[in-house]
Amino acid sequence: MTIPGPLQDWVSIFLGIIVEASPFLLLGVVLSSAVEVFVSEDRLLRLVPRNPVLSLAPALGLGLLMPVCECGNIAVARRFLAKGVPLSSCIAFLLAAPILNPVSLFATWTAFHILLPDVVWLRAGLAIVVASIVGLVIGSAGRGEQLLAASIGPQHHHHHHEHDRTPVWDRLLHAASHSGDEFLAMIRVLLIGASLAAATQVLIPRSAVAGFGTGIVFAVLAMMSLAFVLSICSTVDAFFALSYTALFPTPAIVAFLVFGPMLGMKTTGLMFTAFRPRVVLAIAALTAEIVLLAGLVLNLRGVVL
Amino acid sequence: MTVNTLTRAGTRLRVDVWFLLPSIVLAAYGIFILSLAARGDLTLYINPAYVWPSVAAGIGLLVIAGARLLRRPEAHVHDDCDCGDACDCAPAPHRSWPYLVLAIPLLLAILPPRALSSFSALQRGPQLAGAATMPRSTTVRRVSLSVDTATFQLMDWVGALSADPNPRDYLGKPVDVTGMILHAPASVPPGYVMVMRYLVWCCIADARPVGVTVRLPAGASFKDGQWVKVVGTMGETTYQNQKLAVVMPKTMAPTKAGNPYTS
Repeated sequence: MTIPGPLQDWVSIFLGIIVEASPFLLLGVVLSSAVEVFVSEDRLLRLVPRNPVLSLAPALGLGLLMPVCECGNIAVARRFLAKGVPLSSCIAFLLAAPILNPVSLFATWTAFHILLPDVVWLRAGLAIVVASIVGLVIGSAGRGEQLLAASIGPQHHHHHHEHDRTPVWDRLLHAASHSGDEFLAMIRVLLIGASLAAATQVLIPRSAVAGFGTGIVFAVLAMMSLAFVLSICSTVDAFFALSYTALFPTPAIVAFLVFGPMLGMKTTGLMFTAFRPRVVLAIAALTAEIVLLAGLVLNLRGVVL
Repeated sequence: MTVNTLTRAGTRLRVDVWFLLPSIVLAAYGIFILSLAARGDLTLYINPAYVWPSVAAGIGLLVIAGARLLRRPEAHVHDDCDCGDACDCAPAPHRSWPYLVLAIPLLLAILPPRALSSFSALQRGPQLAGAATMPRSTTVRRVSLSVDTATFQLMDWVGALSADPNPRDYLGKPVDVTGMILHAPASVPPGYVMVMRYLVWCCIADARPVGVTVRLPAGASFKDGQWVKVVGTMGETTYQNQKLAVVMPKTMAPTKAGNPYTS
């Protein structure tokens, strides 16, 4: 059966994203189910300080430790939200973890340490700054429960299993079947994101993005748009960004590397499984503004060439 | 207990199906990934380095599908809280559209798997080794006089030319590479074509068309996407005021398709 090249390529890219993302999505839901079944709310909440600013520290620290990229982190963040962890830390974790995770940091270092070594620490540093600001702002905007998606609404806070009395085998079965439900809930959102990302890749030539305009504002906006539509995994986007170093100034490259893992066409849909739509829009708008601003400041300060 | 639950729900068959369906879909995803792996087609979509996580996910999905069935239904009932079925431990809501959506990739997978076509290479902007648009993005490999370039694969040339684009350093060196033809009139001088492969880091969403510039032998004509074996030497040409290292082929013959992706 012969089907036209563009359509065939859409199918291939779509399946490529699904096959590639599946293990990371599964890792995320397994970690999240382990939290659900094996960590009691009390124990978890004792680890998170009540003060919103201080509560960012464990979120960012966990981001450094957890090997989850942008397909896996949402499942973990959802679980934290359902367990009553403050909104500010959950959002900070959600935005920062895909960049701060060890795999992604190492990949960024590998790609840039010779050509543009500043990019490595700028990426990590800006990720912390942007995630913290967005977390604090959205976190202070209202009581958590009103901002969450209906599927993880407030009923969870008094939803108490007597875990300590349940045999380990039953708890493992519970965790496994919970992972299954969550995988199904999230992969169908991922399917929509992946099909859109694949369609954009096929329909829009890269040169159209490069020809977006000149000047630093356009350069940063162009790279942010590219990051959004491409939706490449945060563990490898650094290698991809390398191919744009000849076309775009470094602040735009940094904006690409910070914005992409936080908001991509593939994963933004997944956020709707955790937050009300207006909250997702607020997170997206705020993140975009801060990253754009950061790109312009970097350019002004001449921190990098 | 299962029987009790079913009788309480009234229609035995429906409850059965809704209980089984999530496991069936999960298992189908697992089998989908594992069958791609078994046929060796997984590397048409992802970098070989990521095959094992995908295979692990396939096995994991089968395990989870099974574990879901082993779980006794009464475990869903929370005796110690009044949340009823309103929590996400409850059986999935009885709606069928989510499952139809989930079936789409499984249906698409029936199509014969294909590598990216040359259409995508043009859409992504081909990157010619040695030209200004190609940054140092691949394994850097400087060519010294002692290196026998006859053993260089296409990607070795791409790496070498990105590290050191000066054509003078390669003049007369032997070339023997295999890749796909791409006519890229925007980036290649008239009378030349690109012989390329895709560089894939993660999955083909990040595939980048990279390759070398090859002079077309007189009278030769190839279609985009045609695999060729090029044997010749390195030369140079001037294009848009830039010295460009190009391959001067002695022979350039169609050959059978190889793996278009390389890591």
